[in-house]
Order: sequence, then C-alpha cells, then structure tokens
Amino acid sequence: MMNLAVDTPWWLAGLLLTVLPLFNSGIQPSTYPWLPLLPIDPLSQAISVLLRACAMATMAALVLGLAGLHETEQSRECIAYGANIVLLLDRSNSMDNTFAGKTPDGANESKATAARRLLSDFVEQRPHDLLGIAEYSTAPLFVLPLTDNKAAIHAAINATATPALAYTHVSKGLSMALDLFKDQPLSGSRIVLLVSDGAAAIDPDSELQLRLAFKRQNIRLYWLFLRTANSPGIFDKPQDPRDDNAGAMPERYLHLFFSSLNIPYQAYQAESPGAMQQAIADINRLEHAPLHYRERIPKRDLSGDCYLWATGLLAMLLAVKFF
Amino acid sequence: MTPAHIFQYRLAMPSCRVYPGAHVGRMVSSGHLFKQHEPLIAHPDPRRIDLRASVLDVFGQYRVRVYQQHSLIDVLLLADLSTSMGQNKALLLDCLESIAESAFSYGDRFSFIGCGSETSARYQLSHCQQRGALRAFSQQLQTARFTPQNPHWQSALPHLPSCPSLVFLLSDFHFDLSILSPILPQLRQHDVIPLVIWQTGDYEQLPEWGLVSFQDSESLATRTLFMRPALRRTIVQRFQQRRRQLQSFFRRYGCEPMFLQDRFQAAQLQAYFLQRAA
Repeated sequence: MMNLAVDTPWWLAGLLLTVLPLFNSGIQPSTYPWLPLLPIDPLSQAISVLLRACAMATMAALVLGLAGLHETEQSRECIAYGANIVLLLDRSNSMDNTFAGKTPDGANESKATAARRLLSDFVEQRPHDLLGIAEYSTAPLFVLPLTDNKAAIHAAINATATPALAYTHVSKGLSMALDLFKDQPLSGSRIVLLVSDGAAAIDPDSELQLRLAFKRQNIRLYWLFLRTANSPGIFDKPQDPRDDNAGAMPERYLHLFFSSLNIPYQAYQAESPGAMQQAIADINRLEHAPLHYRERIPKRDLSGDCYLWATGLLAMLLAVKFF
Repeated sequence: MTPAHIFQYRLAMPSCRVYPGAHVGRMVSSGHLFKQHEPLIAHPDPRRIDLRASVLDVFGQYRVRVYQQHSLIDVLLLADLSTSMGQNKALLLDCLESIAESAFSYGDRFSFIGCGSETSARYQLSHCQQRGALRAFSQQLQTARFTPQNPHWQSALPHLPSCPSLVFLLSDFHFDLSILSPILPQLRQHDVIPLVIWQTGDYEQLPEWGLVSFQDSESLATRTLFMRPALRRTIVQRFQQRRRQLQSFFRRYGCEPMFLQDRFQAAQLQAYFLQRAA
C-alpha cells in the first residue's frame, strides 16, 4: 500500500494544466481541403492518443515534482529470529589502551578498537536484531535507541573511535541501558551486552533500582569483561580477606551483584581480541529467539523520480517533434 | 496575355443570341452560310434578291437569300469560393484570366459568379467585354475572403442566362456530391464543363515518413497522421477513387470533368475542346 503525500499541496492546482494537451496537440497543423477524403488509420489514431497521453503525463510529472510528491513514513510488521540488544559500551580512559595496558602501537590494537571491530562484525552477522547503544563514562551517554537501521548502528559504533572520556560509572550506564527497553513491546529476548574493562562499586540506592528494573524489564545480561593484564579478574578471589570489598575489587563485586539478580546472566572474561571474538560468537549462537517487531520505512522523496519521468517524456516528445 | 494562354472553344449547341459573334447561331441575317430563301417583304434587302428563285416562285414574288448569322455566346465561370479553395487562389485567377481572354478573343461576353456561402455581388462580374473591368475585378478577387462553408450553388442559378451558354464549374469538389446533384439538372440547357482543381501536395507529394497534423479548412477538425509509404499509397488510391467517382457523377449529367493539377494550362483546355469536337 502506497501512501502518497505532497509537500506543497497548492502546487497541485497546476494539475489543471494537464488538460492543455487535449486542446493543443503541439504539432502545427497544416490546412487540408477535405479531411473525410483521408483514410481512417488506426495506427495514426493510436499514436496521436499516445502522444497526448505522454504530454499529459509530462505535465502531471512536472507538477507533482514541484509539489514534492513523496511516500509517507510507514511501518512494516516483521517476524525474524533475533533479539533486542542494547550494547552498553565503556568509554573510560583505559579502553584506549591495549590488553596489555599500554598505548596502542601498530601491532596491538586498543581494547576500544577491538571492541569496535568485533561488534561491527557481530552486527553484520545478525540482520534482524534491534540494536540500541548506550555508553557510559563519568555520566551515561545516550547514543542510539533500539533500531534495525544497520547504517545508523555502524555509524554509532564507529563514533566510539573518538578519544575516550574519564571514569567508569557503571550503575548510571546500566540504568540508561535498561531505560532503552522502556515502552518497547515485549517481544523476543532482551539483551544487555555490557562491554567494559573495569567496574565500579554500585551504591545501595542504585543497586535497589537496578534490581527492580532488571526484573521488570525481563533482561538477559552478558558482560564482556576485557581484562587488562595484571588487573584483577571478575572470578578471582582476593588472597587477603581484608581486600574482599567492593572498593578494592569492584569487578568481582559487580559480578556477584549480577549473579544475585536471578536473571539469565553470563560473564565472559576476555584477555585478548581472540578471546573476545570467542565470547561474541558464543552470544551470537545463543540468542536466536523469534522476534516480532515493526520495521519503520522512512519517508521516500518521489519528486526526483517525477522529474526523471518528465525528462524522459519530454525528450521523447522533442524527438517526435524534430522527427 | 500571350496567345499560348488562350484556347479555342465551341459550344455544343447553336447559340440563340441575337448579337453577331463567332459561333453558330439560330439567327438568320448576314453571314457566309446560306440558310434559306425568304420573301422580300420579310427581308427587305434588295442586294440579296435571288433572280432564279424569284422566277421559279409560283406566287411570282421576289425571293431573297438569307444567311445564317454567327452569334455570340455567354461564357460563364462559376467558381467555388469556399475556404478549401484558398490554396488554389492563384490557379483560380489564372483560370479566370485565361477563360476571359479566350472569350474576348471571340468577342463573347464573360461572366463570373463566385459561390461562397452565398452569392455576393462583390464577387460577380456580368457580361464583361472590357479588359479593364476584368483587371479591376481580378484585383478585387485577389483580396477575396473565402467562406468556411460548402459552396451554395443554388444561389448562383438565378444569375445564369436563359440561352445556352458555356458554363465552367470551377471547384476542387471536396464536398459531398449530394449538394451538387439538384443543381446539375437545372444546368442542362447549358454546356457545363466541370474543372476539378487538385493540389498534388494533398496526396502525391505527402512525405513518406513522419508525423503530420492536418486541419480541415472548413470544419477546422484536426487529424494527426503517422505517414508511411503504405498510408501514402492508400491516400493516393483514395484520390484516384474520388476521381473515378467524380467522372461517373458528371457523366450522368452529360458532362465530362477536366482535372487540373497544381496549375492552370490553357493547352489542357484546348485539348479538351479538340477532343470533344472530334
């Protein structure tokens, strides 16, 4: 179903001009003494009618082009295998370092670059997902709502190439990621993919809110932890029991918090780009549930097509004129 | 006007005009052809007394020889002044001049009647025998406005003489012949010669290929034709068919049409009259 509309409706008054070819064939007639003497020729009649129709179509195309004919925005109901995924990306300073914790050189890429590359591939492999992107640093950054527009998603992922910001404030980031699912129809699985190389302690107020939100939104959580060499991992237990607190080991405590949420949760600890790829392939394999969503088809400008048609028809009429 | 532009003609029947002229007439008077004897009292011309006939006359009266007088005739040109004749205006003027000059060369009287939607006195020349009047009329005709209707031949009939005359019917005959069929029987006493003028540009010289639009000069209807050799052949055939139709139509009324194409040639008319005399 085509929904057509125009930008400036009063131009449509020009459609009255389309009747002009009915009164003037455009060919200078030569006088003839007696027309009934000429034979009735069906081919000539057909060509004459066709030429008039062409001239009328040219007029109509020009007027519609001027009026700015376009197809209105529409949505299409789609069912596909995929998931609603929100990528929550860490934009702290440390993401710009390599897995070895150094400034990236030619041989080793930074964690952010690796994440960018692998996530782009991940998006490519999953054509039917709805993806949203949120980032966090000191404050959460809203990047992209849930969409199936691949170009926008790639652009958003590439936008993380800008230099990273300051600190890691994961709880704000998580609440923004969960907010993205708000007002979305409950269809297909909902995934938050947290990509970070560090963690921070979550204050009790946010903890309570997050618990509620995770439960309410029915979220599956994947944490892709990019571990820098010689930094504490998420599964490590401190040797000294005095260090066993959220301040000293935020990664371990964030993992414990996620595990205690009673939601499907999986943590991956990647120590190299290869391991990270493995983790992403894992997620890719697991998340294939039927997804019901409405695809939005943007407004499409048809005036260019109108002018193209008008040009083609005019060229034809001119060719006939000088034939 | 050079002599090549005039032609000789004869009326098919004897003239009944009283004025002397160049054609065989019914009047008896002075002439070269002996007709009969008459009593002197009927023709009191003592120079023509035939003594032998007078001696042989049983009543003892003087007999006079009378001769057949050559009389003049009226030459008329009835021209169609409808718009379709617009393209034939030059031909019409040539024709007018040639016929008038030929009539003058015999000493005959020439009349012109233009038939448009009505017969207007403006386009009428009666019993003309002077070149000056003809030239003035010819100039007047050059600016004539042709009427976009079929010629109204009926209105020309009252202007025709009652005596047998030579009547040229000049038109392209691009109209329904049914409007002409009530007219021709009324012209039976005259010697009618239909002159059919056609422009070859209307059929033979059409382009082989191309898109042409024609507008009827009278009804103003237009028709677009995609010209191609087959269509042109069909058009030429239609004109040939029309020519045969005109011939059979006029032969029904005892006259043979003459077809003039593109220009007027006096030699063509000359040949026509020679053929008829043979």
